[in-house]
Amino acid sequence: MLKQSGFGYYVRKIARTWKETGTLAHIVHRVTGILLVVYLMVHIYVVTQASLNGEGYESILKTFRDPLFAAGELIMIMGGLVHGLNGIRLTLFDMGIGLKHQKAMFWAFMVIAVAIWFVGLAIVWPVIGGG
Amino acid sequence: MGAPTESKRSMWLWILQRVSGAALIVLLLIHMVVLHYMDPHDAIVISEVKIRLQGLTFMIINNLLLGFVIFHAFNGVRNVVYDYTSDPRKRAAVSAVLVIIAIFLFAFAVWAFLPFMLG
Amino acid sequence: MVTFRVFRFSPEKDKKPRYVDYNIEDTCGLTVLDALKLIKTDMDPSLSFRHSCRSAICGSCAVSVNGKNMLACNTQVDALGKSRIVIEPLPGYPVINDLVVDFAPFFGQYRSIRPYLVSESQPPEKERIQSVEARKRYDAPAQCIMCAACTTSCPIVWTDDKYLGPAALTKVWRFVADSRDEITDERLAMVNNEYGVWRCHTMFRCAEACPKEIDTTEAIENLRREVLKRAFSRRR
Repeated sequence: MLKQSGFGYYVRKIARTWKETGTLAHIVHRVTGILLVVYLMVHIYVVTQASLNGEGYESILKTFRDPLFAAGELIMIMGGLVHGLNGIRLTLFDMGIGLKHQKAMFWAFMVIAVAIWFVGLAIVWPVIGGG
Repeated sequence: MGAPTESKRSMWLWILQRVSGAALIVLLLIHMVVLHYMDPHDAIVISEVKIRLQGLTFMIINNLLLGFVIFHAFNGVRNVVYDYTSDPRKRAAVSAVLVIIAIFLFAFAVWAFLPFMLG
Repeated sequence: MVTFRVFRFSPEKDKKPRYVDYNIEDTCGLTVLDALKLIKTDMDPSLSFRHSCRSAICGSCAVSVNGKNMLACNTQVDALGKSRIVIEPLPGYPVINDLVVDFAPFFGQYRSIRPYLVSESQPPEKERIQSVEARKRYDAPAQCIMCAACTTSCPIVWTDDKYLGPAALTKVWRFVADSRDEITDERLAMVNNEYGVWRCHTMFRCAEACPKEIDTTEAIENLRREVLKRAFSRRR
């Protein structure tokens, strides 16, 4: 018999059907989740340097003011918003709300995520743009 | 094949993933507002960071945030691993490693902030 | 003209699956199952696939059509609106031959959840009375024909072979929702574990695949809430 299971099979198969909204939402949730775990580790390391090694912290912060790192931070904030809002969507399903409108709900929550991101950016822009 | 047996732990971890997720939405909002919006200039000077981190309310919020975010992150990783393997022994090994890393990370962060928290 | 790109795998001859194209000139009124039968009779008698009733009742002919699971017998070729149609076996389970997959894991999980009405009390003289409203509660899940379109559409099933999957979980819900069944407690216990309801990530692939339009995702969510209700009402 020909095996049709395992991680490699999963990746190949899901790569062909990722456009299904429910599947897309799951992939987005999973990828942002993993990225946020990595970010969390880096973030805890950087912030603890403030306490353990003041000079080191300031030099790390200088690196983070590099436009490339700033962009990275902004992308992570978007990742957090997307993960959080889709998390609300999933929790609503668990409460029995909106199962029949899951596709519309995904796109609506994504629009909200982008909107919050832009509003937040507009407020801090004078600081990061001018700094 | 006998009927599957019950595991209350699986249920509690699922509930806690939802609860911590909901808590994180509130706590991260506070985190972002306090750090970036209340006083919108860069925390580049150590003394300012120190002042921010002191105060009982902020201390409680910060430690809650730390605890919830580490639980949510590591239980999330556990969920991902559990999806991709059904072997109970592999699952148990991964769980054990994740619990150790999570506890270490939490303890390390609290320890690192102790000087700030104590003033 | 429609090209049918069919997944072929013979365990005696092939190491890897191959795809063979068959062209059918006139597909008017043809179902995917009709097309497969036409290919078998007119073009290639070695093609293997399961089918029986031709009317969406037996649940034998579920296949993957352009990446989505559906019954071959109630899918009109022209309604797909494609000039090339890829037909593959159901995903997740081992392929025995061409479009025929091994259902042993499916029925193994199905049997493990006691898929029948259980009543330990003295049976009544005539039938077990059930109100119209009570019957309505499991109207949808009672439609299941066990074609495995839902379970094999679930990516968790592909990687976690012990996960009960949407079909078995929906069957549990069908009996939990049945007022005549007397082992609700046992049923909720058997889905409350690492291979049960908590493994579902609400991707909705199962509900979208179901040819009987059973909302299997909703059934799993209903089960979760019943498990939680039971857990929190018993302590007190």
